[in-house]
Amino acid sequence: MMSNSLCSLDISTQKDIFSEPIKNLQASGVIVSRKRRYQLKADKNKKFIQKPSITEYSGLNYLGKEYYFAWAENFFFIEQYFAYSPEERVKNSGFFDRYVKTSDDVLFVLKCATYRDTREGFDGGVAILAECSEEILIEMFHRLRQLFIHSPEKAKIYENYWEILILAIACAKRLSEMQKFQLFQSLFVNNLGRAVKTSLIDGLRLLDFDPELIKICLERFLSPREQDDYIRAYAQEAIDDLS
Amino acid sequence: MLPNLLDDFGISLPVYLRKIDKKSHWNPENLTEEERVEKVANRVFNNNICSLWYIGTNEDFYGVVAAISASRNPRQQDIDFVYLTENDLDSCQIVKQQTREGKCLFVEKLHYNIQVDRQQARNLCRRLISINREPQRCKKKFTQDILEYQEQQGCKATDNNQGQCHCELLISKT
Repeated sequence: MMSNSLCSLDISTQKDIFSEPIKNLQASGVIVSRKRRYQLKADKNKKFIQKPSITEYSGLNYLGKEYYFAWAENFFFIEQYFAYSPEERVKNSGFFDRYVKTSDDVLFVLKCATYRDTREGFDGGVAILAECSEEILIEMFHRLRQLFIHSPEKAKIYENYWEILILAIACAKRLSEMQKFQLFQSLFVNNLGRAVKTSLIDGLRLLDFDPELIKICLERFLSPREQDDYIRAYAQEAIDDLS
Repeated sequence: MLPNLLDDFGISLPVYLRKIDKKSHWNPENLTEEERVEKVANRVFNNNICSLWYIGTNEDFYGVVAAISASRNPRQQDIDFVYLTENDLDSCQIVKQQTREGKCLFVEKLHYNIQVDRQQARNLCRRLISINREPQRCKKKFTQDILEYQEQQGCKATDNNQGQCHCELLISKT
C-alpha cells in the first residue's frame, strides 16, 4: 500500500511500471519533474526540506504537512501517467486513477492534459478522469459551476480544462447516467462560452439516458436567448441525432 | 452500419486525416479572421510534429478509427477530424514522413508525421478556412460499428486480438 509521503513510497512492487521514475526518485534525493514544474528536496530521513517552487497553484489550500506530501505524490504520478505514449496511458489509466484523490489532483490532470507538448493530452485526460470516483468528479464539477457563477471571466480562461472534464464525466464509469444528467443540467448557468456549451451538448448527447429529457435540455440552446448561431446549429444537430 | 466517406462525410478520397480533439475548436467564438487562424493553428496543429493518416479507401478509414480508438478510454467515442489533400500540404511546403503507428497491421503504414512550424500551421489553417473546409465527426455509433467490424476481422487494434487478423491471413496465403 502506498504511504502518504512521496519519499517513503513503497515502490518495490511497482518496478515494472515505474522503472524510469524510480531512478529519478532515488538518484539524489532531489525530485525534479520532467518539465521542472516542481522541485522537491528531501533530507536523508526522507523528509521534505523545501516546499515546491510551484507558484501557479497558489490557489490551493495547503492543509499541513500530510496533505502536502499527498499532494506532491499524486502530482508526481499524474505527471508520469502523461509521460507514457497515448496507448500505454490507456492501459494504465485504471491504475493511475488512484492518484487522483482530490479535486486539486483533477486540476493537475487537466493542466498536464493541456500542455502543448503532451501528445493526445485531451484523450489522456478523459481516459484517466473517466476512471475516477464519483465524489471527486462531482466535487470538481461543482467547483467549475461555482467558478462560472462567481468568476465567469476567470472560468473562461480555463475553458480547455472544462471541455475535458465534461467529456470525462459523460464517459465516467462510476457515475450513473442519472447523476451525469443531473450534473449537466446544473451547469445551465449564465456566462457559458461556446467551448463549454458545445462540450455540454456533446456530453448530453453521449448519455445513455431518456432521449426525451435530453432533448428538452438541449432545446434550451435553441431558445431566443441563445444568440450564438453556431450553438443553435450544434444543438439542433444533437437533437436530430437523438430522434 | 459502416460509414462511407463520400456518402456520409462528403469526402472524395484520397485524403489525409488529422484527428482533432473537438470539432468546435475549428470555430472559436468572437474572433477576427486572423485571430481565428491563429487559434485554430494552435489547437489543431499544436505540436511541431503532427500526426496524419492517409485514407485511400473506406477500409483504410475503418482501420484508422480502430487505431485511434486504441488510445482512448472508452474506445467508443466520437472521433472529430479534419481532412487535408495532397494539394493542401504541398501549397504550404509541408513535408510528410511515413512512420508506423498503431496496432492495426493494415493501416500502421498509412501513418505519417508532418513537421509544421508556426507559420506553416497558420498558412495551412488560413487556406482551409478560406475554402470553408469544415471538420467532420465520426459519431459514437459509427465508431461502435467500425470497431465491431474490425473486431470481426481480428484487428490487432481492438480488444480481442488473440488470433491471426484478416491481414495476417492474407499475408500468409501469399
